[in-house]
Amino acid sequence: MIALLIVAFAVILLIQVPKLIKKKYWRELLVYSVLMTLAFVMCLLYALHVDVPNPVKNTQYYIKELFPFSYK
Amino acid sequence: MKLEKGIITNTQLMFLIISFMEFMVLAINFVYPISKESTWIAILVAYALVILIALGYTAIAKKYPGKNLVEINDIALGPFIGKIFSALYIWFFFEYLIHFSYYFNSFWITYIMTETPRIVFVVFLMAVCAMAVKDGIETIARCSVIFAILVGTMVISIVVAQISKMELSHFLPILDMTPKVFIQSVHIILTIPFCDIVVFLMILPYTDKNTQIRKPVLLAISLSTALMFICVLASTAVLGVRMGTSTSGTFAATREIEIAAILARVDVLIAITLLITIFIKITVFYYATVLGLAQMLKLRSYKPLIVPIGLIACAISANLYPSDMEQVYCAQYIWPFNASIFEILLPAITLVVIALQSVWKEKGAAE
Amino acid sequence: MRICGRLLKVVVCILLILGFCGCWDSRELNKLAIVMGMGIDRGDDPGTLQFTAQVINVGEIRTAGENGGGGGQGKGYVNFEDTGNTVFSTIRDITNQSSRKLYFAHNQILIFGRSVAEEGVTKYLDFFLRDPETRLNVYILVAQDSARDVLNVESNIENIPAQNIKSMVEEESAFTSQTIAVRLYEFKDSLLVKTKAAVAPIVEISQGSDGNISKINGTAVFKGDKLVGTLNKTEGRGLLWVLGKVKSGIIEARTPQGSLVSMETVRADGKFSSEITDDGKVKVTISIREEGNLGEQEGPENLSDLSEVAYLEQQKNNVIKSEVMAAIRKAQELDADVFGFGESIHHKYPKEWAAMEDNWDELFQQIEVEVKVDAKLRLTGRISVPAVPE
Repeated sequence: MIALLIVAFAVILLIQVPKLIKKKYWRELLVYSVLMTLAFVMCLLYALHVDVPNPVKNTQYYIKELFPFSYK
Repeated sequence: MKLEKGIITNTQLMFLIISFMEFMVLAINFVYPISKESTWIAILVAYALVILIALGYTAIAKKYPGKNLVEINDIALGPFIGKIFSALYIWFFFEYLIHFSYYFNSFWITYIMTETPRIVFVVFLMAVCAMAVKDGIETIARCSVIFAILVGTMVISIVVAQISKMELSHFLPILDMTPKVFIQSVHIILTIPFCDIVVFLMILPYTDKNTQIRKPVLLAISLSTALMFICVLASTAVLGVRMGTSTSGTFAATREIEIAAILARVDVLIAITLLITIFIKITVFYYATVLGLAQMLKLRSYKPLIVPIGLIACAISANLYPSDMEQVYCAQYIWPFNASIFEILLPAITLVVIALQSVWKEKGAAE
Repeated sequence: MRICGRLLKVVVCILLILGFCGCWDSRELNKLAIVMGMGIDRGDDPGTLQFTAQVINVGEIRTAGENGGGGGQGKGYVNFEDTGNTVFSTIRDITNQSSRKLYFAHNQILIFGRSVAEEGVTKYLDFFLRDPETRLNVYILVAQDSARDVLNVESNIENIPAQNIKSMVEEESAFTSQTIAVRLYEFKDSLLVKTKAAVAPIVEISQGSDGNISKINGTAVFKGDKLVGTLNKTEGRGLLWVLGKVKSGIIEARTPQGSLVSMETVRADGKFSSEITDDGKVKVTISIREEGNLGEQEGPENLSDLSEVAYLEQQKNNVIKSEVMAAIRKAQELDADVFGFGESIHHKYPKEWAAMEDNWDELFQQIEVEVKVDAKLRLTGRISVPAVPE
């Protein structure tokens, strides 16, 4: 499962990075690398059945704090 | 530097917004358990409110023609606060992206293919949407013309097919609920299907007649609300009491269709409708996220950002909620408040600031 | 001269190719008796065995359209029986009764009669492991009484009893997961390891609505190669939870108000790891992950409510835990390590294992077990609340 993930990411990187370098989009490459690392880490966490950081829980928490009134 | 070089006509914009809002046909499943037979009244009230809100959005867009939301925030609110607002908006669009992916995934697994693992449909859908976003707004708008008409036809034909099973007595009792419940249902309808057209503030600058956008937007909202209204009326008339129990009211109503004992089991049409409308919605949110991020970080093109954001979205939305019931709970009780901040509060602040600025400018010019 | 040499090479090549067709060992289809199922029982004289081979009767196979009356009145299969001292000699003796030689490559199941299982199965397995024609992925089963009777019970859906039993084993392990489906290579692996106990499903004959039917009921536990006991359905599923082989199944639980709820398991995964604690005892940690949907509820409660969902998940945890503990207790009672805990210690602590291997029986009785279950309830199906008035 994890091997498949690594292969998939390698393929994606191999296809996309040369295009960026050819066009000399350095700033884009930086942003791309940061985001891809984040994506890789998250997909890895998913493959290992660890709980991926979940925005929903945070949203629920701060909404409950911010809005003392609610429909329930 | 313009990140998006495509131009769409106003008619295409109108169809885009229509196909975007046609997702309502299934989004009101969240509202059915709350305002059971009176959902149609809630829709009318919400429609009146959203027209006002849409006027606010178009006012913001008309003040700065040719500039998308991120640029407007930078100019109107100053570089620092503008960046914060833009970041909040982009995060909001991304949240919608993952929520809708989860909804699609969950719907497909519940009704069509029960044993598939939870990430499969998300990955496939995200891949298709990524391809659409790569092609740019023009392609999306062109597709949406066909989709809008297709979905409209399907919904109308399903409604017509259900005529034989409708009973007017299913509408009574009307408004048999406390005001609090009614307000909640109006709030939900307002935030989930209606007000996410705030995302179009990212797309409005790319139309060919930048200043005459009020007409297509309002027309689109009216047309899709009319379609949705007919659909809700039909489902209520067919199901009546059973509305609140089903996990998907429109689906349940469509299962009842049986014409001459040959044409039955047309509920797969609803699944296809869901597929098409979710595709448009996710593509638009995906596009807005990627474009906004590229704009904020002053990149030369948004295309490299498509794949990473898609992958992150896949990883998060596969396990977004531990169970489907939690998503329903969140949609009914938590999301209206969360969304109101981004859909109503932030644009309102922007609008107030713009108004104040123009007042100050007039004062300065007068002096 | 050169052309002659070339021609010679071509001729030699053609002759070689002709030789590889396999003419020497050719066996025509109409000289084969294709065996679908085999059964071994104890023979009447001590030390002999009775062998039953179920062969397809190709001419009489009934298709679905001709079921019941009309067409060929014969059965789709023929059972050949013979008695002898060793398996191989018995099989060859069957050519005295059969017009064709038995062909084993399509064999589906191998059933041991209870008497033979209690005696020890190794001596009967050797032929099936050695012969090139038999395959290692046949299913092993133990018959409640005699294998011969089981192979004679006809089913209404399938033409051939052996096919019927094979499909039942596969369906059972896939959809209710209360008995383990064991193939010959898995059985052999368990036999090769000194401390692991082999298991096999039990097939019994019971009274159906018209005539006898065969049913899969329970799991047989072997110590060494002798049958020592059985696991019932709950314990059988407990074993499958630990091994991670549950594919689907129904878990019943009660809501806080006392009504019954059945939940379907869609996906399950189980792993265990063992370690040796400081005072020399063995501690096994079993972690099971499970996902399921709500299938059916008896009562009027709204089970989509989040607190109810959490309660049902906790109930699922309890049910799974109790099934696993029941399986472990029965295994300890029978003194048979069906799970493979010993092997996992062997893999992790090879040096200490040498000392522990011989008294594994006592150590097995005293293992500490910790079961961690993570069960989730994902969907509720088409409706969220039942059809009751509010």
